[in-house]
Amino acid sequence: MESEYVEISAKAISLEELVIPKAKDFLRTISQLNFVSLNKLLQRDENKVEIIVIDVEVELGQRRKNDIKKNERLAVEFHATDTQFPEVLALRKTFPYVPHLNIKDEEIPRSLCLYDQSYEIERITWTSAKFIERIRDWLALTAKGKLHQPDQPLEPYLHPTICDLILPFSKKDITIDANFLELDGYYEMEGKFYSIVLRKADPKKTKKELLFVATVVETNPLAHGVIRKNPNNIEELSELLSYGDYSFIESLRERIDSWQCEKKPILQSKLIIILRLPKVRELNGSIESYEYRAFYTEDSLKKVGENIGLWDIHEGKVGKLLAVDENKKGNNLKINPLNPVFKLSRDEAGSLSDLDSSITPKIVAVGLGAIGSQVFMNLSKMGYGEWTLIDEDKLLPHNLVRHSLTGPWIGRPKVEAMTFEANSLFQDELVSKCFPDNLSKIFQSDEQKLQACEIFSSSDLILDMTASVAASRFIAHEIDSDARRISIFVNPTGRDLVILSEGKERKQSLDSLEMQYYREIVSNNNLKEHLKLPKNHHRYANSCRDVSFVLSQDSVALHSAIASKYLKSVPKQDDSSASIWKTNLDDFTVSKIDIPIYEQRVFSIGEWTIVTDNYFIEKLEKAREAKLPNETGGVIVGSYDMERKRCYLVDSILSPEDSKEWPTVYIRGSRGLRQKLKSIEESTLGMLEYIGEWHSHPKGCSPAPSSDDRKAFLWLTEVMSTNGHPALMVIVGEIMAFYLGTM
Amino acid sequence: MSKLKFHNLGNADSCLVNTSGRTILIDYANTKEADNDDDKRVDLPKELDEFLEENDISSFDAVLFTHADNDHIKGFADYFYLEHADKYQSDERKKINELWVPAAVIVEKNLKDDAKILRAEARHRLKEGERILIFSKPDEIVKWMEDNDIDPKEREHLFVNAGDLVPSFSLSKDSFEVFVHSPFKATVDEKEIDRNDAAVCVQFTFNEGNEITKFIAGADITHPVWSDIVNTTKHFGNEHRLEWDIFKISHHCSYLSLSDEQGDGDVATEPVDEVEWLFEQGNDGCVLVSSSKEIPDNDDDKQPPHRQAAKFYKKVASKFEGDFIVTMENPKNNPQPTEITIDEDGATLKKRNYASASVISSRPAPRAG
Repeated sequence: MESEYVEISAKAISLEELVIPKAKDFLRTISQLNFVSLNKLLQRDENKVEIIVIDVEVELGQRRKNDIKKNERLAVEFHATDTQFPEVLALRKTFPYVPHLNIKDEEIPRSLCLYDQSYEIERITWTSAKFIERIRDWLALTAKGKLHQPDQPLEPYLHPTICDLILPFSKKDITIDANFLELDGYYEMEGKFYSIVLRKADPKKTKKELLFVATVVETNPLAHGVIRKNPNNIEELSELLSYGDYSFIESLRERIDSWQCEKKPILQSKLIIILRLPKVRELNGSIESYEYRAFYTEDSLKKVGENIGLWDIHEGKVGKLLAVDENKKGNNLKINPLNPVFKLSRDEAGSLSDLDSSITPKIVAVGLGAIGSQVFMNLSKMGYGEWTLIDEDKLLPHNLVRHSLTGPWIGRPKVEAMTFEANSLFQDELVSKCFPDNLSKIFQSDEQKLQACEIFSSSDLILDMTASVAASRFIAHEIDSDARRISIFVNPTGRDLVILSEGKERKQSLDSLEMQYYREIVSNNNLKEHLKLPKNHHRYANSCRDVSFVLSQDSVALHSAIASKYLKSVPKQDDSSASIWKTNLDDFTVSKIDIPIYEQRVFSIGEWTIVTDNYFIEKLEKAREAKLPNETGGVIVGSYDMERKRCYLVDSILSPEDSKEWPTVYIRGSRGLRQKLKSIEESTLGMLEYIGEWHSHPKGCSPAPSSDDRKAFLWLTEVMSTNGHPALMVIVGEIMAFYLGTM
Repeated sequence: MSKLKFHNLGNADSCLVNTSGRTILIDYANTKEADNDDDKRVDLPKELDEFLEENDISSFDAVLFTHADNDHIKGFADYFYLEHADKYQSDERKKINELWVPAAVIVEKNLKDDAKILRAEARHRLKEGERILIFSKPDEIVKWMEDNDIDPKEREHLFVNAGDLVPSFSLSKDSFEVFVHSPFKATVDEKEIDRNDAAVCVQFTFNEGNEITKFIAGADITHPVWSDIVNTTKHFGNEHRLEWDIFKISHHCSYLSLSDEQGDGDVATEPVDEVEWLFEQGNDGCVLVSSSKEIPDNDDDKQPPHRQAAKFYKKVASKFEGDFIVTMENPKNNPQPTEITIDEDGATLKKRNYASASVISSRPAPRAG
């Protein structure tokens, strides 16, 4: 009777003759474990390979999805070099064709694909016992049909030399119509075999000989994969792919004939055949997925045509045959397997990044410095956002310390370089456009302005990453768009990240959020040092937002990561917010401070706009209430935007203790006032300062100024004019009145 | 997914059935000698406690004592919360929502130790009229109720007879049902009760993903009773009630559950016709479990397991390409509870080489000096 097992041609050896350490350990382990026993020992290639044939008992249910037997005989091949997994062969001749087998030159015995990690990684924790249990697990799970890992087939490890074929299109772009693809690329055939990287041939350069042409062949649906062994030449491939009336070799002849190769620079090109194999669960079932395989011919297309009977070569020239030579089937055209890898699509990038790809906001980013470039690249790599980048800077050598761009881009406009980088992520799926210019200059140029206005008005988010208060104010007020504005910057020491974000309905504008942020710095003890300048600060001008100081790339990366995560969350947040992320420099933890946001209040007085919020208004009203029937008052802290004639009323230092508070008279004292103002100016780097006075009127009174009030206002006007600021007085009666410049 | 766990207790029984969130224990015999490191029997209370803890279960839905022999009840009074006396009611004791016992447990006389305590508990629950299910209703028990001023009519719901389904669970509601094969009324009304023959024998039917798997728990039934069961079942056209995918072999692999003739030397016991038929009712890939000591290679010990009987069961297993498992040999030298999972693939006998850590953590470390 014929044996039910495959005989392995190798020399039988005794236990003592075993030399490979892993094999010896394996043998020792077998004797200690249950459900596995030794059948025999073999050796081949002069000790280089030792084979241990074992019988294993498999954990089986009563019903089985795949025909795995209770007892299976396996050959485990150990290599002296120990550079690859010991190969496990199922010796039963009727062992089923199941998922997770290695593709080999011969179909039987089947080779189990046991691991989804490289041997280098598995070796670290390798034990024979675990290996045996892995084999038994593989068999048990295969029997139950549960070994399958969705979508991702395990990489065949037996072909470490298998060459990757990197294609310039995604799976969805590939169709059977792609019978002729002109491809260019590069590869290395000698020495280490890396990969063939292809790009679509540039039609402008068609005179140059192309390295490759490719054709896509879709086979008929067969239940599970067709290719269980690698064909060695075109004829063998044709035998595998032909069925019924369909003959692969005939189809290939027709295709190549239709390409009119003699008229194109492709006769020296190698032919790549990409197979698209439809997978169905059962014959005549619907197609569930496709498997892709590829082969390339070692010979040129010229030789391919000759050897499949399309033409003859006379003195190096192609001479077409009148009739196809049916006898030439390409059995001398050697083909090699390739592992097709598709380009990364934007959707895939999103799902690999666990991104909700249904949200792709249109984003205009202004300022592509350290933080800006890294935030942009973080999000682009996930396929998040459709971007327009605005920045006039060119990449300078010192930028490399913290910028996402690298050396080759030095001297080029940053946004052009970044746009190029981002757009090369997903090949033809564009991520970004750019304006290599200053934001305000764009609005000065008629031509650019038109284009920019269109982009701004259709955008969802406008990001200010300029580290410039001026740009931030410009973005807040000079751009006509419903887009939310968000400012992202770091404090002078680079330790804290600040994000000011308008709400969906833009009830609080960016500048109002900015003022509320300053107010918090003054009042929150945890933020006392927030705007402190670094020790080694050598600058002639102070700015509360700056990146050109000592700041490490790792800090920028940390802040950029937080900012990216924040931006992804923005579409789901309706409210405005202002937050600070503080890094603890001792243990690198980050803590977040949420700044309370109050409703913005805006009033117009002549050419001026007064911007304040409910915090300020309620503070004054409460102070008046508390001192009734007496009057009270204090000084107003805030800021002027002289360019836009906006006056920000942010906070008040309430009545100093030496003030005189009577029912109809208030004289503001000054004890401690200078110190308090100094401290406010210092902690906000001068962003908040003294801007005016306020006092209350008695119960039932209007805020109309008395004659004393008018005198005081004149004094104020005179004092403030030395600063170039208008006088500001607020009178709180039953209602509140603001007097700015005039009374 | 349902799970069966047969504990390695030597010639003794305890099988845990965990199905659809229900926990049923068939017999409890804590046979392991405390402080004997060489005793390979499982520490049953510890094993059960760990199971309950891991699965966040506080009580057993049902505990079936197939009969009141020591190898099926040993130490139960130290483990369970018993309702008839305060001293069995400390917090760590495990509650039994429904106590399942054969009628013999109530009416037997001259008892001591665990059997006596079990009788007291069963009688208490019968008097209370709840949380008990009694298998068969012989005249004797009716008389006992009358003697104790209990109206038998008011207790009818506490009884189930051979040929009926246990009322507590149903295939439609719980995805499993329990069919009663024994005891017969007659076996209990005999003057001298033979406990083994008056024991409870049931068949479980599990529905997992619309696939049916059947388990027969064979208690310590002898071959004449098996013959009665087979004949009665056939008489009522209930043959499917004797189909099985998992069979808990009767009486620790004793030949007396197959035939009066043990068989000689290496030859398999030849079962009587009815029993032979019973073992033709298995399905492919079935599992036969012998809750017993290791199978000996001689006949020195008159007690089970008997190697000739084992040989017969092995033949049955191999015919169905299934497994014959001996609880104290699974695996040899280091037995662990035998686990069978039941899902849409039917029964799957767990065959794992236990990781060192799980073996080490399942028992105390050897004494160190």
